[in-house]
Amino acid sequence: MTRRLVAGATYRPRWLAGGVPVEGPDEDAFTLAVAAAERLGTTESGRTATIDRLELVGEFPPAIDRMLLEALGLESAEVHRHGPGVEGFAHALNDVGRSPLAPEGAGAVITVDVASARTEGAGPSGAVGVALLFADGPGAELLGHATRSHPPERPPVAAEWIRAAHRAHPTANSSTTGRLGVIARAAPPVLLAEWSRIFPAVEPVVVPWLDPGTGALPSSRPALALRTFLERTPPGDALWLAAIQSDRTEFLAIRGEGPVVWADPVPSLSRPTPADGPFPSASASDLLRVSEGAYVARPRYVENLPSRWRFVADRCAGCGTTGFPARGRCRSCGRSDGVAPIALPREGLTVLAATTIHPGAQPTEFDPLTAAIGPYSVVIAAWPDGPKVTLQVADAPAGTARVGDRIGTELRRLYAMEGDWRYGRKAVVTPGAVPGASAAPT
Amino acid sequence: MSDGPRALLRSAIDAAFASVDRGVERSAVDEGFLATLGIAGWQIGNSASVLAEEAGRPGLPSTHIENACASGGFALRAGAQAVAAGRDLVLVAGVEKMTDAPSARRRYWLGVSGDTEWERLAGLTFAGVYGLIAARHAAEFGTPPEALAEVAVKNHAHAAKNPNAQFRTPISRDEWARSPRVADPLGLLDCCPVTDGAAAVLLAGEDVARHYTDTPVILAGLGAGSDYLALQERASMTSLAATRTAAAEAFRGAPFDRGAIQLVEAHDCFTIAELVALEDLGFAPPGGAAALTLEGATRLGGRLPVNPDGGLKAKGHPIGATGVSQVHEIFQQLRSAAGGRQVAGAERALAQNVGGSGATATVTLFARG
Repeated sequence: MTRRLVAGATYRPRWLAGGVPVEGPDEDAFTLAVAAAERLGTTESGRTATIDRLELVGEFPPAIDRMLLEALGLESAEVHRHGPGVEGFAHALNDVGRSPLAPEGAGAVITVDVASARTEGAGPSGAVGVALLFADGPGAELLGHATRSHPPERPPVAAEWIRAAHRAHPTANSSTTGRLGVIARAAPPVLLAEWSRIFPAVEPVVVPWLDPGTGALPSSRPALALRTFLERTPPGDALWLAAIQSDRTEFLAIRGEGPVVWADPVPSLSRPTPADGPFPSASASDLLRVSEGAYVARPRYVENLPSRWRFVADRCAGCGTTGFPARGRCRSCGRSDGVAPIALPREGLTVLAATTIHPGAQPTEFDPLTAAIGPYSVVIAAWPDGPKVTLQVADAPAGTARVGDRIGTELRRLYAMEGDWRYGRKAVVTPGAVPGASAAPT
Repeated sequence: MSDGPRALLRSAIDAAFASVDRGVERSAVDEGFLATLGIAGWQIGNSASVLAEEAGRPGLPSTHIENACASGGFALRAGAQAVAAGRDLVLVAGVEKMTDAPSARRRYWLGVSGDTEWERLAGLTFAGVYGLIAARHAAEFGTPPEALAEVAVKNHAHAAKNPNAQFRTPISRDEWARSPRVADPLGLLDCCPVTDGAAAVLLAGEDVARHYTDTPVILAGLGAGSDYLALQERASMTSLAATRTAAAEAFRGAPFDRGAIQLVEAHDCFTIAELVALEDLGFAPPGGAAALTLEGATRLGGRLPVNPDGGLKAKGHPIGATGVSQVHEIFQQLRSAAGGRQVAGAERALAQNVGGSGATATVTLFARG
């Protein structure tokens, strides 16, 4: 069987700085990765695929493996981490597209860029998460990957460069049709001229590293470019991606064999951040915050993650009652045998009550959030079959959520305590912002 | 420097002993219950011995009762059960010293009795939880903001007549409307304050009580209930099942029904809570407490005065002491000793004490002896 790129999804934060999407105060690499992967799960192949490996591209916290497996409900998948940037992306694609997998298995590549983590390069930097699903089926096939080093800040020698393109796509010749996407700050004309001489039927197109609309996205730029080019490349044509960096070029060669399905993008709210810059990263003192009294100890937080992150509830085989969160006992008939876990949908809840917490009325754990955004709203919302959940509202001005609104949810940071971040789902009220995620047994 | 928890407790216990018409020896007390949350960490464990010490009765068998804001009501219940089990004279006291801690620590502690795993992680303290209750009440019944205002204005007016109240200055509806927002639709003047306080009562069987006084107050009905800790797990967001359960139990054993009640001490930690209480106690149909309140029925002089002492809202809410303090007010009222806030001819009364947002509750009925 051949593993092909069959589906993809992009998640862009709803906050803007300098006109570019940046992560909100409760978002980070983990939440962006989950948001992209959850959207991938709304495509037909995403719903049915059994993902047994995850390739991560970007800068992630050390505990990301377990956190992602829990958030995505993948018990036994392997997680491979790759460095940020185009090398990481190329290796991730190579690993997932060409490695032997379990017979029914599928692989996903998740790339994440976080604006506040950017240290290199000039100009605005953005935040985005992209998830790509590789599974058996029609889609885009990875033909090969090659890399060519060159002296720092000097363009590659044209003949060397063409050799690398051949390495990535060994059967290409002068009659091969398709496109070359060059991701570069500046693509030397001599390279493009040589390319057109060798592959006259492959049109080179230059994509700037820094896209004014999305900012510099070192890890996700190739994934986003891939989508753009695949949409313009007829089935059977070859597609090269060449990313020219200061000291190396990465080549990926792909052939479209069928449509790649992309989850609906999140509509931007065009919400500028208060300072029109990325929200400040958490300070050391935030992370070291220690409980003074009531708090959820780490083991209890971890114990509740299936319910907190994936809305796992109790379904009673005896009386049919659904109780949230899962506690292993039926709320209605009191039985503990025959109570099975079921994941409730992440969207399609209805707001029953809404309040806005004004500064001073928040638990002290939320002091940093309140300092960043001011008042926030909290709702109690119900699933169609009855259970209710209490959720903070993300990404919208306080007071936006109203009784009767339909909401979706996103995984977000709650607060830092005793050295690490606590995460949970929050409500999002943007109409149509959240794709339909259906209930699935866990 | 203000009195600490021991001094507060001592003064309340001394006043309770001093109020016994024919006097009482401290050695006659044979059981004690102390209600306190131990806000900010004051003697969370083993505080019952402090009760014995401050009662001047070292060695007294004592128990600390903690059901959040309903600690006092449950301590009273435990005391009554001890009397029923054969004790002669039981001391029930409550205390809370809330102003000791800096505001951030106090804010942290004010959430310890809510659901920590879901409500608190969503960013709620009690003001937020009651904000949600108020929002849902308005959505279901169209409850007007003016009804919340009236609860606040009324209870502040009552507190002005109570020398033991924290706030003795009446407020206007304009002041209520201008108060800073806390948790919509609730503003600062919808919320009970942070209070230091203590209260103490003595319980005895009727034959023993007649030895000490000719005018005891009779505990005519005792009820308690509980509900899910988190609002999200309850069947209703506009009614406290714990109150309904407690009221049903209290009236089941009582020699009179709701119609005979002449005054109510309701747990008005937030203005909306008083409206919900009146509905759960059966004094108004669901959604009907706003009309009852706006027509003035719950004011002193109305047909069912509620919180003549100012309630939690204006008398103050020293958490562990509150439930016992309600009993103290009723003791004064039913003995016609409530001064300027006396409910004329009061013979039967009800006290409702709620833990947190309704996870626990007691309802107790009283009659002039």
